[in-house]
Amino acid sequence: MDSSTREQIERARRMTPDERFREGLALCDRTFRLMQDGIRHQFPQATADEVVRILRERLAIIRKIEAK
Amino acid sequence: MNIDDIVLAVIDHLNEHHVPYMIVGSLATNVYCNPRSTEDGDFVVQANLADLARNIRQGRSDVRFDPQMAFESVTGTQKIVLRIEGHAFDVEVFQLGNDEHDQLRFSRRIQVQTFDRPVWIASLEDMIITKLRWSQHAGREKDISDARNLIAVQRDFIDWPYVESWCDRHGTRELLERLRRECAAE
Repeated sequence: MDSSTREQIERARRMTPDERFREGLALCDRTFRLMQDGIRHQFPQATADEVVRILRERLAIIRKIEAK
Repeated sequence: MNIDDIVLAVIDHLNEHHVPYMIVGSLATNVYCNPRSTEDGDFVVQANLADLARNIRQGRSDVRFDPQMAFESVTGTQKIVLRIEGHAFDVEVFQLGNDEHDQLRFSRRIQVQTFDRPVWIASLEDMIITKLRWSQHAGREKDISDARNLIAVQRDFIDWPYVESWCDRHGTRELLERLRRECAAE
């Protein structure tokens, strides 16, 4: 096990369930915001609804890849 | 609206209406090990899905859901997908099925306190058992990765005989032992 993995495991052990749950949701939020920022950069004219639609399409592609 | 607002809106609705539920999937995995991002939230409820969908739609003016009935192909259980207007994060709500392990894991769910409210979560052992079972059915690497993560962080607190007995029944014991060896080596 590399030191980074060991450090991650030890960090998770030090956290409370509440802290881990909150951090998981914050990570989701950050991921979605980054993906939306990327879409807006690529399609500057896209409306808010179009950004969500494209994001949904990209998430569907991710799910397909993960299922392979 | 943040993703925690969406998840907490669902939790609050279920708590307020006394709907028996538990969080499963990656959101529940995060309670036990290294948190990771996920594309959606998964809940299991012991309730009529059509009634639940109707109540959610009528019950909140600040959160708008678009409940859609769907069928989950791997487990054969029904689910509704709660789509939040203007957001791509979906919440999937599965009906508690008749499968023996699904029934047992629902009865073994635990309550944790988070965001200053009680939240029902699948137990650590049942998360591992289900992740391994799903990895077998759906062939997803991330399920194996989640199981490895759960074992690595929580290995001293796992009821191993319980996990082993279900993995024997599901045909996932070999995979379980491999992950245990990997985590022990670490």
